[in-house]
Amino acid sequence: MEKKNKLSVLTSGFIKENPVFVLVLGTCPTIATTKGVISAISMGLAATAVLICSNLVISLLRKLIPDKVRIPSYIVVIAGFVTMVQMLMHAYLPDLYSLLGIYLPLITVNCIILGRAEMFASKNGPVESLLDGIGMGLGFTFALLCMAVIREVFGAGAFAGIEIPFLVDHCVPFLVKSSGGFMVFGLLIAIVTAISTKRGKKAPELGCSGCPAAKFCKAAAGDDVECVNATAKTEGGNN
Amino acid sequence: MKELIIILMSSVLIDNYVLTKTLGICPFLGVSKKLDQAVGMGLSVIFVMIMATCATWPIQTYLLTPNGLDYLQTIVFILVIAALVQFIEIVLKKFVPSLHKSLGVYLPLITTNCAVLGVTIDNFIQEYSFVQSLVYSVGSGIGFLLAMVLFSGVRSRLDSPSVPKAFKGLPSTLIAASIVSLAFTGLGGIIENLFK
Amino acid sequence: MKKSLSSVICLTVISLVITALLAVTNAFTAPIIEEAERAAAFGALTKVLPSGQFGADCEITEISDDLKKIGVESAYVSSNGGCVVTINTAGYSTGLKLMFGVDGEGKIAGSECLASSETLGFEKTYGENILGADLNSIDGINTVAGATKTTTAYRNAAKSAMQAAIILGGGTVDTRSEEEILNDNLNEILGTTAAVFTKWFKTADLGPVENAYVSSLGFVFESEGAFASTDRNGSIVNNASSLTEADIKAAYEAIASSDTIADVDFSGVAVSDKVTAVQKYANGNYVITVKGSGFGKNGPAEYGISNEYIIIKVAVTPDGKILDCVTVSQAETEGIGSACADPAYYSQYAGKDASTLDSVDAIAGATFTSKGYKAAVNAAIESAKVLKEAGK
Repeated sequence: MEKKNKLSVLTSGFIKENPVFVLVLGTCPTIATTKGVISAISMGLAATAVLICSNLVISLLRKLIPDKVRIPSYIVVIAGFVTMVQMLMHAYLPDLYSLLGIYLPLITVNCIILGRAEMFASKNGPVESLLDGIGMGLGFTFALLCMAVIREVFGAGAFAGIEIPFLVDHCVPFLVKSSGGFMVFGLLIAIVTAISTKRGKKAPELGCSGCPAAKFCKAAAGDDVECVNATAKTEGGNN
Repeated sequence: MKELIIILMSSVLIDNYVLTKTLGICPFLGVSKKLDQAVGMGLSVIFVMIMATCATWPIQTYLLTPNGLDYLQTIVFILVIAALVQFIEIVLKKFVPSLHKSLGVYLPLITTNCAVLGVTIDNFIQEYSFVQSLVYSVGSGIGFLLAMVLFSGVRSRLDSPSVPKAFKGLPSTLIAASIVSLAFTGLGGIIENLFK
Repeated sequence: MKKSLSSVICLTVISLVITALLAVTNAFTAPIIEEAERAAAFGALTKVLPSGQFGADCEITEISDDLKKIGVESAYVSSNGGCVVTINTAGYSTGLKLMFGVDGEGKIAGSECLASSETLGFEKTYGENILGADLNSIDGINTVAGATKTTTAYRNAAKSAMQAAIILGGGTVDTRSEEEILNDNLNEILGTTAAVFTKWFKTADLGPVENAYVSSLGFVFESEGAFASTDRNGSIVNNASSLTEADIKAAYEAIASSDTIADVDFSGVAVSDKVTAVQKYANGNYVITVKGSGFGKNGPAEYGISNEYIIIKVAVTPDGKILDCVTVSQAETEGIGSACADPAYYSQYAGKDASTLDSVDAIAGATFTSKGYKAAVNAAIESAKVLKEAGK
């Protein structure tokens, strides 16, 4: 693996390889926690903190961990950091803690984090992994923020809980429902598809790259499943 | 009894894990293309959710909480679920090969399914008793199966119409999911009106 | 084998290290979380009692019967004096749950409505009016017109909260209801302790005596707010009123001789069709039971009316003067027309006749009930005259 430009590692997660819109990872929190700007930002930053820490630690341990117990070890490390973030938020940011509720412990099974551990941190040095964690985490936060701004401004007529005059009387409550989340996400992906097709790139597809079960998923769903080629594509992007 | 029925009905229809709580989206979008896959995945999820509740509820209640180790919940639960899935697969393979043949391929998918971890944690957020937790996990599993089956029906027609190029594939799938989810929103007041 | 052993060891070591890290974090954050949760739980308390200091054991876990009687649901005692109580009250419909802070001097320091099913929302703002009130001044604070029931309930709850503060402070307060206070007062006048009084349904004109109370031990007569009493045989026990001995004797005789009653067969007499039963007393007066068509009968069917009459018992002289009136049963709209069962409403009819009946105040917001009630009472008056004509 050739040496990469550290800056590009940092920035690629933001746009070129945005984990949500391009790699299509972590769909559950993307839809669930983007009803409001505040919950979206807190979710994004909490996941970023976990991602940075887990990327760094896994990268440091990558040569010590036997291949056989690789995934369980990663999960333990990630769950550990998630619990730490959970406890710290409970202590210092109790409002945000109760706002995120069950979605906070579920960061453990957010495929972005396990995905970056498996795809990047286990193959790269600690510095690159750290930068990758920051880039990917902020990319995730940015994507959640985009979704949340659209949903809260037009769905609730507010921004971060502050009501916007006029819009508050003419909002579309559907957007803050789960169904609205699917819809906004679908539309944003469509926009990304349109742009990347224009530039001659591949359209975003359901990202199973990070999912340790991807190969089973492929077997279960047959060959025509959508999440087949993500691994190849992402690795191509890294090199 | 009435309470249990309310828990069951709301976890299937109102607080549907996929369509309302938006958990377990990956398999919902990934393995719902054909009806038989959707059913297989759904049944496996019901099975694992029940087993996971059976395993995690006593662990939390009798081991973690009395010793003040509540903070180990996430880490213990995810490991227990992972081990449980492995164990079920081995047992099925050895003793019920026919079942393993039909469900075995879906089991490994479930380890990192957030719906399963979500149910086990939710049992404690809602402060359910063991029986209530079991009913809740059955209901959540059935809700997942229902969403999968409904959506596989929708998806089987998704490829035939001509959609704008930008919407081909994932975007149209998500928008179809949005409409299925919207249909479930319509069930909102059903429990209150049935039981109150 | 060696390979899998090293795998197991590696996973175990990682798990142990992570668990240890979590334990450290937990030891660090647990006290902060606990403190924050306690602050959140008691934050509501300091909101209504800003000067309060609430320790871990501030909650009174066992609410005494005295406190329960005045509606207290939970109570918290501040370590520097004062307390916070939550009170459940019956308001316009299903009640308010209110939280009051009472300071060390027994004054209302703050209040908040925790739960309400009221429609107008006055319970959310009325709390400001009673700030700083004490037990002596609370009754002088105005209620809100148009939301009298809600705001009266709020004010009474504030009174109960201050009484609760006294009880919590080890003192005793009068928690008797109005009926109990009256009964105790009547006992005092009769010189007894255990008599149970009922208000006598006036089937005879008692002259200057406005009300009479009957018990198994004796009678009490009320005139201009003062009382006189006799035993069962008519000897005067006490007289604190302006009634003369003759007045008292006459009233006693009127009551003692009123037992002789006869049911009147009014078939063939042109009495009103509202009349369901007539009894005639030895003194010539009638007790006529009439049915009134209120909201329950005449209200618009789409409101889900009860289809029940209001049953009223009216004591009336043969000349058509009402001696007494009482609502026997009714199924009018709870909280609106149901006020026709309130003594404050039906006691207005006593002393009226056909010409003065219109001076009876209607029940606010219950036009159907008031009209139906008045028509039924009027039917009783007219029927008494008809019965007298027929010689019944």
